[in-house]
Amino acid sequence: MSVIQLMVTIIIVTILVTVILGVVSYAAYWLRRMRRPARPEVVETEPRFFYRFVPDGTSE
Amino acid sequence: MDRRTRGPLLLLLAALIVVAIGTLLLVWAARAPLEVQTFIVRLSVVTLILFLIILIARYFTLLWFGYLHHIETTDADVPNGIEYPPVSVIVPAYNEGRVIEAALESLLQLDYPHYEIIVIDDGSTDDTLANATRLAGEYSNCRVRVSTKRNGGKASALNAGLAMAEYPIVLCMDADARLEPQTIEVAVPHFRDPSVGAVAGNVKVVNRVNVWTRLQALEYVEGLNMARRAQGFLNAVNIVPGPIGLFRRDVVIALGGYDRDTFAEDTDLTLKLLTAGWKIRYEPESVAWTEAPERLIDLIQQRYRWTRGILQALGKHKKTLFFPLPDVPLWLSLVQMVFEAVIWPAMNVYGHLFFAYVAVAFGMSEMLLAWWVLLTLLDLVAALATVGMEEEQLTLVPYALIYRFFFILLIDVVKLCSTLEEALNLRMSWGKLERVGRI
Repeated sequence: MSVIQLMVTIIIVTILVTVILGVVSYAAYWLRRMRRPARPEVVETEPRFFYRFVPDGTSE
Repeated sequence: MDRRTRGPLLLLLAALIVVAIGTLLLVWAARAPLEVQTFIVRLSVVTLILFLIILIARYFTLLWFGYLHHIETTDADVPNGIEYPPVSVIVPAYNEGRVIEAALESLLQLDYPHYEIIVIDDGSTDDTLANATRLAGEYSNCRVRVSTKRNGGKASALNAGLAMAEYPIVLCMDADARLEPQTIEVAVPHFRDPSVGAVAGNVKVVNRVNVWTRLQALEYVEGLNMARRAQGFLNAVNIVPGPIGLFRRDVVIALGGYDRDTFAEDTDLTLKLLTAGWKIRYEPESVAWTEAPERLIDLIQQRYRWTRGILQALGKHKKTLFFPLPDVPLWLSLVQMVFEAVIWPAMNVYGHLFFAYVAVAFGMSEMLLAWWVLLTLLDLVAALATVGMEEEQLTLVPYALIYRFFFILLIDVVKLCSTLEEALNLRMSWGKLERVGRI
């Protein structure tokens, strides 16, 4: 096997292994997420900005 | 299926059909008579050259604009007697007990005449609040205030910090980041221009302990910061990063603060600022050191959230995507984001598989090798140039050898999978990374 063929083989194997690794790792992450219990939906009741209480009875 | 889901899903289906037809044609061509094979080989060469032209054009545009920004910022003199307005530093923290003290200690070392640090504990279940409170109080040039609230997510913690902030400029950061002492001092002069609404800082990886984190360190320098530098030249940075961003407080509040409907609140706020006509600059000397994921699974979790978050933020501005006028720079910015988030990863993954296939099926192995050598040289040159501009470690440059064919390809596969989930509108959660405590 020539050097060129060897390098091309390494490149092709790297490309294939990387794509497979990406898909498999993503699937593993997906499964891990699915196993985690879902957090209950938080109803947004608090205001986006809160207001500081100022002792003289006014608020900013 | 709602209207929000239908568009991306149809696009995705169309792309899959094109890919499937292309693959079938290639398989058929490999068995076809010699003249058809010759045609396919020629077509592959043209495709390969087109792919390379797009890649090289992208690289050199970024490098050229980045270089112009480098010249501009290196030559710029800050005039004497400049006023330094007080700054509020907002630190949202959720279960950051391991790193919060180190982060606050680094903030107390900032070289700036007058500032306050506001820690918002977002309902942590660990010792974040206790550790932060230990450092609360008055110091010579700053004060530290600590507040706690019910858990509501990072955006809500940042909004609470904005409400508490008393100074005209706010610095929003992550609790796991460590700032360089000059960070505020070099960023604040940008606000002398009244049209500047925000300044993005320079994020660097602190924990260069294994191949994953070193590749990410190179990615931050060669990919993320180079793009930000190029955008900074045009005053249109499209993501002010979560670990370090300075804003005009009144502007952010007038725009409604951080929205809670995306998983990339930093991108979302940046797009709101750009849409409102504010300029956003990049300051490379404002450095935040941050912990990068050390394990592959954590890296995937981070990129999954980034990709879906960016797509969600883009979805809120999709009208602008289809109507370039009147704000062409904003449109270009959004188009670039779509290109980087979806189109380029799809092209990259498909391009790699396509060229590997034609090399095997049509005996184009020399062509594949030449393609690899050219791309790797391009990456090495880009790594050298950007490492030089950022005055980074030269030891990062050799990682350019596996940067594109391994790291970027892997990340692009994850981006595509995440895009598919976003198109299907699947449920997602924040997925907080476990801190190792290396800052």
